Amino acid sequence: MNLPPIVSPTEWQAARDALLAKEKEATRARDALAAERRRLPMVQINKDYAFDGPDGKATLLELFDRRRQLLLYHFMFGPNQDAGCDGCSMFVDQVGHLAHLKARETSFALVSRAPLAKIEAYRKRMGWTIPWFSSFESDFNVDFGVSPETPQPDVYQDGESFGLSVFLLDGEDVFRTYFTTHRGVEALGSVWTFLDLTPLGRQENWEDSPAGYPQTKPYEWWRRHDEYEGT
Amino acid sequence: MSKVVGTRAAWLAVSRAPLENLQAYRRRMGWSFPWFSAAGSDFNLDFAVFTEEGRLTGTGFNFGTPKHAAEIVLRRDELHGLSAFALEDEVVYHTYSCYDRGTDVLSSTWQVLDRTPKRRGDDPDGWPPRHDEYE
Repeated sequence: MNLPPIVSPTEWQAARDALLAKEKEATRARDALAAERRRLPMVQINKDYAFDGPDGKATLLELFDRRRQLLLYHFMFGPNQDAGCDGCSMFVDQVGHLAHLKARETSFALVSRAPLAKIEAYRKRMGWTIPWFSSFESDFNVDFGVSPETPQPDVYQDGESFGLSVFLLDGEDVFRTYFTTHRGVEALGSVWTFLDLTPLGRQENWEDSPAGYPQTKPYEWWRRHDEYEGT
Repeated sequence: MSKVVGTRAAWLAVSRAPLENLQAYRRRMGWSFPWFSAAGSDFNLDFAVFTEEGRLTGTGFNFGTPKHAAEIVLRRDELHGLSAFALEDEVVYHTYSCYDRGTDVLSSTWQVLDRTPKRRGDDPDGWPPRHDEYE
């Protein structure tokens, strides 16, 4: 296999220092982007959505769990499926301990279109404790553009799609401030960001790597964490 | 998480504390990743990535650039960082290290808070408590 050039520690240090200057530029650029993001306008949510949760019906306001901000991940889990999306499952594996988000007045919840019984069974299988709600009897998923009007049993996860919405509470008023999906969600996951620091990278075929590096298609190499062989 | 990275890379932690301290703390935190002790080894000092001057004086960190660099004495203080290594034909290569802000894209807590209107909070220098220490 093709490898990076092998150099002395001093030569490595010089090359690393040169890259560090670019990394610091990227960090400052990311800080500036986050500052702009905090100045985005927001949209009030006036519809009363009712979700099914472990403790019964819950409104969108109740998903805030008495905190100021809500991170809501739209998890692909079609009502005709018995297991949720493998990519969304890998993402949820990467969400950190929620105590740290709660300390910043921020709750985290998952919402899927599958009925609650299927969600609960799959959550148990995955060993997750994140609050997870069903929008099965609600327009929520269709209104937020992550579900087709009617579930499509012939396509992956009945045609569901994924993303992260951010909501802000002001008194009793709920606003959506942000939405991101695809590469925007990958930026939030430590599997992707850790692999970006390794010489082989994510090993996905869209990456600009030296010739001969192992690469496979994105979205196809990952599995649910209990489905990998030999790890 | 470590299991997923495990298909494309191994992930583990190394600390200077004796192994029994690490194991007790790992149980308290409920973590399952492999954790090794570098007690009695030069590993931690060598991989702090010193400048030549730092190597001689036992100072320096993050390539000598953080605002508190002058106060850091690596023979006394522990600090954090992430290193990447590659293995080929039984030979180990050090390919990458990062420290301080360099590690913050790796934390999903920081990254999702950056997507909220209030961001990380009011105290940029404050470190979060352990997950079982919040009131």
